[in-house]
Formats: sequence, C-alpha cells, structure tokens
Amino acid sequence: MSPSAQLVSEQLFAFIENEKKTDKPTQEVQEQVEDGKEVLDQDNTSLVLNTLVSLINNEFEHECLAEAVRLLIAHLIHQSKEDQVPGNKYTIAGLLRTKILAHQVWEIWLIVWRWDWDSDMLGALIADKMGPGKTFTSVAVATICKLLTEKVVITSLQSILWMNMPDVWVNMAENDYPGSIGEASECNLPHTANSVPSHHLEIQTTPPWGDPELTSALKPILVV
Amino acid sequence: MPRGAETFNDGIDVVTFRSDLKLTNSLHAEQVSIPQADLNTNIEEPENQLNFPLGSRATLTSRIKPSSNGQLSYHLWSFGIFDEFHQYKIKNCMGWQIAMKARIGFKLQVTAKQGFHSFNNWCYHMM
Repeated sequence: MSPSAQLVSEQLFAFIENEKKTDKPTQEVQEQVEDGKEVLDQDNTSLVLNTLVSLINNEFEHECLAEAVRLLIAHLIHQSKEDQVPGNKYTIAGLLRTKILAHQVWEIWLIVWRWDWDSDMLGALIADKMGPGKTFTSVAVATICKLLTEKVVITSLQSILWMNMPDVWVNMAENDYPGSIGEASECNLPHTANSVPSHHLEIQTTPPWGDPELTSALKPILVV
Repeated sequence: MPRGAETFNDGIDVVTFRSDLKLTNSLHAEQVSIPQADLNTNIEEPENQLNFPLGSRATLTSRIKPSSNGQLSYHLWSFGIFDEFHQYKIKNCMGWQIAMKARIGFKLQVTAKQGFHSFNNWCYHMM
C-alpha cells in the first residue's frame, strides 16, 4: 500500500472510531438517510470495507492518471456550463475536438501502452458499464495508436519509426528508462513509474512480436 | 443508419477532426464489392492506412463466408474494434470465427455484458 493510501486508510479508521463514539439519536440518523447523506452504520462493516476499498482504488487510479496525463500530453480544461457530463475533462494532443473524462484518459493510456509495449497482449477488453463512453474510448485509442505511428519508414514496411514521439517521452526515456537496445530491452520490465521502452527511440527492423504483417501500423482500422 | 453505426460515426468524426484519418463506408451493406485496393494499403496508396472502415456485423459475416469469395479474409488490419462483443456468443458462430481468424494486429473488444461461460472464454482466447 502506498504511503498516501495508508494515510487515507488511517484517516478513515479514525473517522470510524469517532463515529462509534458519537451517540447520534435514531431520529437524526433517519433524517440523514432520508436526505441522502452518507451515514456510517456501526453494524454494517461491509459498508466500511467498501468505502475503504473504493478510496484505495481511487488513490491507485489517480496515481496512474498522473502518468497517463503526462505521457498523453493531456491538459485539464475548465468545466463549461454547456457540458452535460460533470467531471474533470481533458484534451489530448492530436485529438483537437475531444473532451475526455479522467477515467477515459487512464483507459486510453493503458490500452495504448499495451498496444505498443506488451508483447503477450495483442488485444484489450473495455468492459465498463453502460454510459462511461466505451465506444468513444475505443475510437480514441485506435486514433492515438495511428497518430503515434503515423510516421513510418515507407521503404521498409516492417519498420516503425517513432518520429512524432513527444519530447516529454524522449526525455523520460533518456532519464528514467535508459534500458537497452534489441533483445535485451525485452527483459527490461517497466519498473519505474515513468518507464518508456527504449525501443521507441529505435528504428525497428522487425516488430517485437508476431507476424510483422499483422502488427504493422500501416494497415487500416476495422470497426465492427 | 443503425444507431450503433451512428454512435461510431459521430465518435470518429470528433476524434479525427483535422487529422489525416478519415471514416470510410466501404463495409456498408449497400456496397456490394470491396475492391482490394480500397482496404489494403501499399506503397502507391499510403493514404489507405489512415482509413476507418466502418461496417455492421451482418455485413462482415456475409463478406467472410466462402460463398462471398472471402473478400475480407485476405485483408490485413492494424487495429480491430469489436463493439457489443457479447453477441459473439459461441465459438462456432461466424463472428467469433472472424474475430479469431482475421488478420488483425490488435483486437479491442467493447462490451458491457458477460457473454461467455467464463472469463477465460470471454477474454483469453481472443488475445
């Protein structure tokens, strides 16, 4: 557990203990329930556990979100009165007209990262419930994957050159992921928070996995 | 146009705004044939690599059958998005066969429902 998550859990524990000491009249608790306010039930430990797990999960997501925001060059935009969907929204470099919610930024980065890095995972599954924008996320992911490999070496169809790689990625790759080149880079698991595979900086003679034709970014995108 | 197609249409329009990527309707049912040159890209036609061919599941399955001269069987895709993937319920169905056998670099499944017997059937075998 990260120090911040531990701090949250300690604060929650203290809150629970404080609530237990408070002797609220039954009528007051009932009114809070009717008003929609969250009331901590001393006997319902599952609620406490769920709250704690939710807090920790959110903490995890926010930590990952920071990396996703940085590497996707996302910028937080102000909430507009015309926006029907509440919540923080971001713009991502390359997607000019899009307003992307925080969880979508995280999803996009996770899938793009797998698409480019994870040699054992040639696919992904978006299984959000109805409403959070699965379809939009999938299109955005495909678009970003295309934009990131838009510059390809035409003379060698099997090559992928990371020409339009953002400077921030290059800097991070140089500073945080010195890594190695070629086969040795496969052994370098992303052990740092800002890891970027060093092979992004190299001209690949062959893709790192599978049939080169299947993984070539030159092919169109199929939407079914 | 079906509602699902409209959703994708709108999403692609927004996301690809002012980029070289574009939506093509080459897989729509009203278009009988899909010329190889429209989908596969080569050095002479690099612009095709930036296409988003959008099609229905029925169209895809009809084009993949042996009787339809297997037009889609020989195409290559860098990225495949399968929306409402829970409808690919059994491994013997045409959609599942396409998803498994199509030459797609990265398959992205999109669904909000569990459609198979176990998580392994749902996820593992597709990747």
